[in-house]
Amino acid sequence: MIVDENKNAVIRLFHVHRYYKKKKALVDINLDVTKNEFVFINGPSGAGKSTLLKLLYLEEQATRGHILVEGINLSRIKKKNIPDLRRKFGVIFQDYKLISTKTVYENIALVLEATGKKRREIPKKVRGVLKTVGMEGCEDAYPLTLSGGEQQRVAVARAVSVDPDIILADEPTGNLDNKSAGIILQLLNRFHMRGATVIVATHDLNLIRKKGGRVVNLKEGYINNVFFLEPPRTQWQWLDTLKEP
Amino acid sequence: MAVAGYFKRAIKNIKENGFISCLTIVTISLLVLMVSTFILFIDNAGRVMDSWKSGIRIMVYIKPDLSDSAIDMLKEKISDFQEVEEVWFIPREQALDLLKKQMGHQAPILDDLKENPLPDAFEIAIGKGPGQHALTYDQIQILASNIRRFSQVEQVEYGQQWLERFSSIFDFFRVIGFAIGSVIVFAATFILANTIRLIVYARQDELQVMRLVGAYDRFIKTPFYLQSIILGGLGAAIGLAVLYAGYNYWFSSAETWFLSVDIGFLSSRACMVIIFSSMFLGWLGCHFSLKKFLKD
Ligand SMILES: Nc1ncnc2c1ncn2[C@@H]1O[C@H](COP(=O)(O)OP(=O)(O)OP(=O)(O)O)[C@@H](O)[C@H]1O
Ligand SMILES: [Mg+2]
Repeated sequence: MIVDENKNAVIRLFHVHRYYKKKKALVDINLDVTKNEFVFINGPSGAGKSTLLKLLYLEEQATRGHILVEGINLSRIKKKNIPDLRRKFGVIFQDYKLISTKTVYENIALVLEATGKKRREIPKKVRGVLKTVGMEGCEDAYPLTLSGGEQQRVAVARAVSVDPDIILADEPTGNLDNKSAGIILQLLNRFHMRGATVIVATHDLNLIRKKGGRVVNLKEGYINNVFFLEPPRTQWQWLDTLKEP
Repeated sequence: MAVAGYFKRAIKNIKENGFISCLTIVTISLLVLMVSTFILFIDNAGRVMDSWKSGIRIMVYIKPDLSDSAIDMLKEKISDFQEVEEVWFIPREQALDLLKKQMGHQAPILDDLKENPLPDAFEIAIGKGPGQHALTYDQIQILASNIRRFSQVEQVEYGQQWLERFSSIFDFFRVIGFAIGSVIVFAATFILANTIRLIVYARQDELQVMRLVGAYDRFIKTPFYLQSIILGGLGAAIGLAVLYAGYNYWFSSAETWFLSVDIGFLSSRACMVIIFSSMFLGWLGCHFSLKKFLKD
């Protein structure tokens, strides 16, 4: 896929490679993501999905090639500007990264505090996002006392609590049953509707079929295929029958 | 507001790691206790020695058969030395009387002498050197040899041998103290660095999340610096408090008249310097730890 002038692209990758020693995790990736797009990164385990997301918020650095995020070239970014770059993203990590010694409330408050939110606005904000993901009343619970789906919802709440421009979700429905997965997808959809750009990495084609949209298929680090799935009306309606959390 | 937040987190850090924080404070206070005890000792020993040294008299024996005016001139010249505080002329007769008095019942031996064998002499009291410090033993020696150069002077005697030896032992103590002090400074820095390292390890997950969501460096690091500085300062304050209690216990009632000076506690300025140094070591230890164990 050839990239050319694309004024609406918030994320652009040009010939991006990422190697771990000899291991080629990503090879020659060219990709544009437009503002307010909902994109799926798909592929089998080890295809490089997580690596691709990590390059965007600089948990990892590209070995070769250039990445632009809202016009900022990540290969030239100064160290002191990295935090500001990261604040554009809300990341739902594949392993959640919830802190087990902190309560749900503290987990989310920490992120708000770390990104410079005003202290007195934090309690209201935390309660707000927990309500959005249907986890109100769980403020004082510790993450490990929650079910997988509940933890995942807390992770979503934490990611969106900072009102990010771009949401990166790495296997957001990893080990969840159909119903929980549906809830998470619906949540992501809601933030998409509110104007966020959403990138979801998943190996699960069934999940993608429930929503539809552009799918970037990776295979052994290469872009194997890019295709578009129509939102299947019936399944989407099925999603809507789920009670709003 | 931001500062208050950092402090809150630093205090929380200390509380959540109560055991290791206490351990660190106790260790630092022991180290500070050692160092400050030594400083207290050196400081007071120095003052005792200064008072002893200022008690030293130099005896200048002068050649026989000098005229009164020659003696007066010599006295003038000796008084001109900056280090000389006072000069007394001791005529040979007076010296003999003094000797007789000191010999007590053996004095009659001296009556057999046909002639007074003692020379006229000056007794010199030594003052302070430049900078208002008591003269060092070397300076006393130089003064004595300068006086000996006058042609009218027969011989110069001064000082007690033991004082010289004491002086060099004291200097030796100071060197040893400095060496031990350096080791302790190193140890304290290492202990504080290690504490921060352990806490950084324990909070690895939290720190990683903070970094990945875009926390600024200072947001992540400042609480650790504060924490380490607080531990250092608190340790030093406790160490000094223990020393003060000990000082009060031993010296407030003890008979110290024989030392000819009062045993004083460290000046409040010295205490401040110790506490701030310890806080600085906290900062330094934290700096090493974060540099090594907090990378992004
Ligand atoms: N830190 C690392 N060191 C060495 N190799 C790595 C590292 N991270 C990833 N890899 C390798 O890069 C390749 C891509 O990994 P990545 O995590 O991106 O896969 P993925 O598509 O997210 O897989 P999954 O669906 O299992 O999460 C894998 O072969 C992995 O072994
Ligand atoms: Mg992955």
